[in-house]
Amino acid sequence: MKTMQKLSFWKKIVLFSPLFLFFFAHTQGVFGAIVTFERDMRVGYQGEDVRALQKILNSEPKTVISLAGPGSPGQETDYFGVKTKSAVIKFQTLYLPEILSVSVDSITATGFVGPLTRLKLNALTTGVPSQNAIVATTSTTTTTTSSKLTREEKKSADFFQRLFLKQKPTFFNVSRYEASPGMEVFINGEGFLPQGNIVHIGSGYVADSVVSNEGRTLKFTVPTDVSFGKYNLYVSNKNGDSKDFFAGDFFTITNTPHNPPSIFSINPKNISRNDINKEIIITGSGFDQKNNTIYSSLGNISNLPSSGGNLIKIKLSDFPEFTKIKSIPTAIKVSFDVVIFVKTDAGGSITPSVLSLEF
Amino acid sequence: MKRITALIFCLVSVFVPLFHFAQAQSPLLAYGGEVRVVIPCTCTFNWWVFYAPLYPAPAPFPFVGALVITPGVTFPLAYPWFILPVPVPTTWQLGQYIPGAGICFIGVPPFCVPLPNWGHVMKAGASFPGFP
Repeated sequence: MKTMQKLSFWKKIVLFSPLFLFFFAHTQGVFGAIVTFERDMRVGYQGEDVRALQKILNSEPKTVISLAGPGSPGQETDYFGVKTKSAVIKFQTLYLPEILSVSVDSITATGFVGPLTRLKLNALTTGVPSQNAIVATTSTTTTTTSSKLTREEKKSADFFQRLFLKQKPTFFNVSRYEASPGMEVFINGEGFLPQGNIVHIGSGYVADSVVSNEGRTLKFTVPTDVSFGKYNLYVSNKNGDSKDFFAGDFFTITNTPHNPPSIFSINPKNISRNDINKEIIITGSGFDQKNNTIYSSLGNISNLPSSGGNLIKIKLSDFPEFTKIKSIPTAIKVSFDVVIFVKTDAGGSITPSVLSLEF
Repeated sequence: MKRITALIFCLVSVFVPLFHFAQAQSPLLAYGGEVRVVIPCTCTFNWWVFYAPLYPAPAPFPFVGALVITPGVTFPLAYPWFILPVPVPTTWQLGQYIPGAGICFIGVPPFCVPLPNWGHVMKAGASFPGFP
């Protein structure tokens, strides 16, 4: 006791700090026992959620990652490797029929931890049934049950169920509007199944058995027997089709397809918000001579000409929403990435290009 | 020098576990900020809202950035008419969001492209326009 009294204030702090550390680490272990999985995971991913995933997999004899060594029960790691993938495949095979209320004949386990797998994982960690499990990930209380949901929680739950369990395919964009027979085309959207998607070109031609690895991208090859002409393009699978999304004929089959616009660079890459009239040069290919539209996070700019089909010149003051942010006294020494896309009649650049706006 | 080292050690030993604890607990994070720009997400039928400044937890200092607000999903609290049906620029918002969950596509089908954002606002209250 006398020794303790002799210690200076700071020495006491240094002495007892490890106890603080132990206490908080321990309480975190207790309170943090319920883990929610908020991101998709695949081979190569690292993180504490991977470790939590491995613990869940190892808790079920049928999905044990490894009997000995790294990844085995008690030796879980934070790395998603091949062994984890194999165990996830076993997990999906074991549980997916339970998650989906529909037939799963055409769905195979992939080893990719996507929304549906996370839904089941969250259900297992929270103890809430699968259809309500996502509620637990949106609630501030970790032991929410469906019977105790508040109105806002119910809304959140419905939203996430729509987001993750949306069955009907929809597509957001296509890599090109003009293609020749035999050409590969990408469709980005949602609601695609791992297998069994059909891409319809008009009403007479299909590319079937199209595979989607993560439910958001489809790659298909234009059938070689398609006649030249303009068609509607839509996706169907056993859950429905995307006809409602866009019904017009926009997909052209031709021997000489135009490439969609593509942005190579933006110069300057960084611009101060004070340089209102400084020229910003967008370099790329496939731009229209007269009529290009820029879609951006500061609004759209229409009817832009392009000299030579590879240059578009704009200024900060051209962005319709720029005036609302040109004077913000509280924002100093921060930057904001303005994403820019170019659209022409032949399609659009679907990979975002960034202009960094410095405040 | 020893005191500084001891102080840093103490702070780290307390706050690092707390930070991890907070991370493990809830995906709903607090945010606050002034609405500056509101862009309609014409393909996903919601709003991309640019805030400056934006104070999104767990960031310790202010940023500028965007969140997504969806009518029927985002729960408006104080002065809801400044949040929905359309968020009003120059109002301040305080609420909670889910990081990484915001989906906003602009354009016209079949050309819909995503606008990046921090996440989806699940509930928010607003101030009167021009008043923090």
